[in-house]
Amino acid sequence: MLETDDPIIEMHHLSLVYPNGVRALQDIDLVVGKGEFLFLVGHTGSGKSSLMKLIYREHDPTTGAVFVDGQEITDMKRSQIPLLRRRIGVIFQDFRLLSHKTAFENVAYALEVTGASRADIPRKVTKALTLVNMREKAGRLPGELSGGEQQRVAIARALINDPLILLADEPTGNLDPDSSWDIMQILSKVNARGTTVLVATHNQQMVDVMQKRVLVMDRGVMLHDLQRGQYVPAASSRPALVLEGV
Amino acid sequence: MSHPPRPEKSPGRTPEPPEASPKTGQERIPRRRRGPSGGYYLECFLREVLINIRRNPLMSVASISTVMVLTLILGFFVVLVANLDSLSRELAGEMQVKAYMSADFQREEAGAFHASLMKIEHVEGTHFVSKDTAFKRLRERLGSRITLDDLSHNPLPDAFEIRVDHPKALDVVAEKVARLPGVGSVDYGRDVARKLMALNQVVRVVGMVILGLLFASTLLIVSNTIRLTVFARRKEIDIMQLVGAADWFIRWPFILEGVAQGLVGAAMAATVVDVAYRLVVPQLHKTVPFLPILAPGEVLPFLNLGLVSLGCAVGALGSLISVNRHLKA
Ligand SMILES: Nc1ncnc2c1ncn2[C@@H]1O[C@H](COP(=O)(O)OP(=O)(O)OP(=O)(O)O)[C@@H](O)[C@H]1O
Ligand SMILES: [Mg+2]
Repeated sequence: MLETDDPIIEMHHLSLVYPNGVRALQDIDLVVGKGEFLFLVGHTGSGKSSLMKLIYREHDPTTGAVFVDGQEITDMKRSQIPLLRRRIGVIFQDFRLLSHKTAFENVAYALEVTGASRADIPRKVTKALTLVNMREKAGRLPGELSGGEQQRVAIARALINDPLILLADEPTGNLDPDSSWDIMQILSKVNARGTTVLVATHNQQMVDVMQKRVLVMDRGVMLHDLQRGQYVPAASSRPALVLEGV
Repeated sequence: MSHPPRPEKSPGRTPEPPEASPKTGQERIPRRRRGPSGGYYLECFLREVLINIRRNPLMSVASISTVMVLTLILGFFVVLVANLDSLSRELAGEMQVKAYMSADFQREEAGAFHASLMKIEHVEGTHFVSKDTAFKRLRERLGSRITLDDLSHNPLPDAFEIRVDHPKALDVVAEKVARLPGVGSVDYGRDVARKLMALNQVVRVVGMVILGLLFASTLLIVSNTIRLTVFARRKEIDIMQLVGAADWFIRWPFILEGVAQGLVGAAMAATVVDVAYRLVVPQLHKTVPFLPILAPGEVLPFLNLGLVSLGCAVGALGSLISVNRHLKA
């Protein structure tokens, strides 16, 4: 992918201590270029989700600064956060779709909140659902879809506002291997269109096959930053990774 | 689901990226975006409200009934106070200080005496009742039961009826009048006035306290009901925030939901008060014919409007409190 000198995410001396005293992140320095595809690996509790939360400003760092597309987001006003979130798509292991809305409505909702022109909504939503091959099932409720299908709807929703960055926190954690590859393929496609993609995962095979940049975290510290990396289990006293699927 | 690369289903309709613009020249996070009309948002919100009420009717019932109890009690209280108020005003209109002049009072002095009465604070006007007029009145009142013709002379004194601007001023005015030269004695409806004013005062104070407590507890119950709704939907709110919904966008459906609940509760209460008052007034008129009760048309329109507005306000405020608590957390 195009790895430019133009950074889309920058973190400087970042640390995060939760109110309960847990040091989730320690002195993280990270620069991600526009259009990169990265994996974030590490044992459970190593701080992968926490790192992502700092990017879409679910939490504020205890020290340090985060820049998204050159703009410091750590000193951003509360009222600006929604605008940031519209530029960052996020998907999770548990999909997080609104259960009473259809696939179509779920995707449309992310457009409605932006005050998008009403006439454009059906066209844009259909486009996004087509991208993830969910156009035929647009009228179904999340409960009527398989996990893989729900995740694809979630991806369509994450992409609907044409984000700079797609954050995927264990996107295949609840999926069987076939669906997992399916999702990975879609993420690659999204990345090929220019969106920066950051995937936190425990799926070793996936990381090894994809041959992308790999960030290895261990107990809140960035242990390795490997270009075209392989899955490297972090040196840790904890039990070995439990590999999902595959 | 199969392995990558996935074959395209229809070759003619290759999926395009959602937006044609290339990613590289991406604009910065915009400071502000011009939104569409308020009508569009209102429609979105009303749709949400309907969905939510349909999904959780029991929650709504709890809120609606508490608002109803509050507005119902308030409604009856206002009716009571309004009537006591008008009653005491009515009596106050009749209430006057009567100054009976001493025997040596000369009719020619009446003008001067009127002037000195008017100088007293709270005096609105005076009316001179000569001993002859008083005698005539007495005779009319007694009718044929007792004849006064045997009296050698008119035993009644000349008198002034003094109107005051407020029942509370009766005491003071009477005292001052008594000290004026030429006044034999003064008289006024001291006890009735006092008791009525005291009663009205007590009703008002007690009512205000009860209403204050009631208002606070209604607010508490409504905000807790909505809080349960908010709690039941916290995942949803998190999702809304995740996709970039602004706080107000999340807040409005909840506020409208609260307003709707308050409106329904208050409208039911207003209906009950309205119907009850219209039924009771004719009955009371029959039983106590001279009791000056306010006509339904004098109270109910304002009362209904007030109750409904209050219901909406309580609903809105209750929602706002609980949603804000969640959003700021
Ligand atoms: N909201 C929170 N409050 C307090 N502590 C937290 C919170 N979220 C996470 N933690 C703690 O911070 C540390 C890092 O958690 P995090 O969720 O970032 O790990 P992770 O790498 O995503 O793990 P996993 O692979 O299991 O998802 C853990 O010790 C966790 O217990
Ligand atoms: Mg995690």
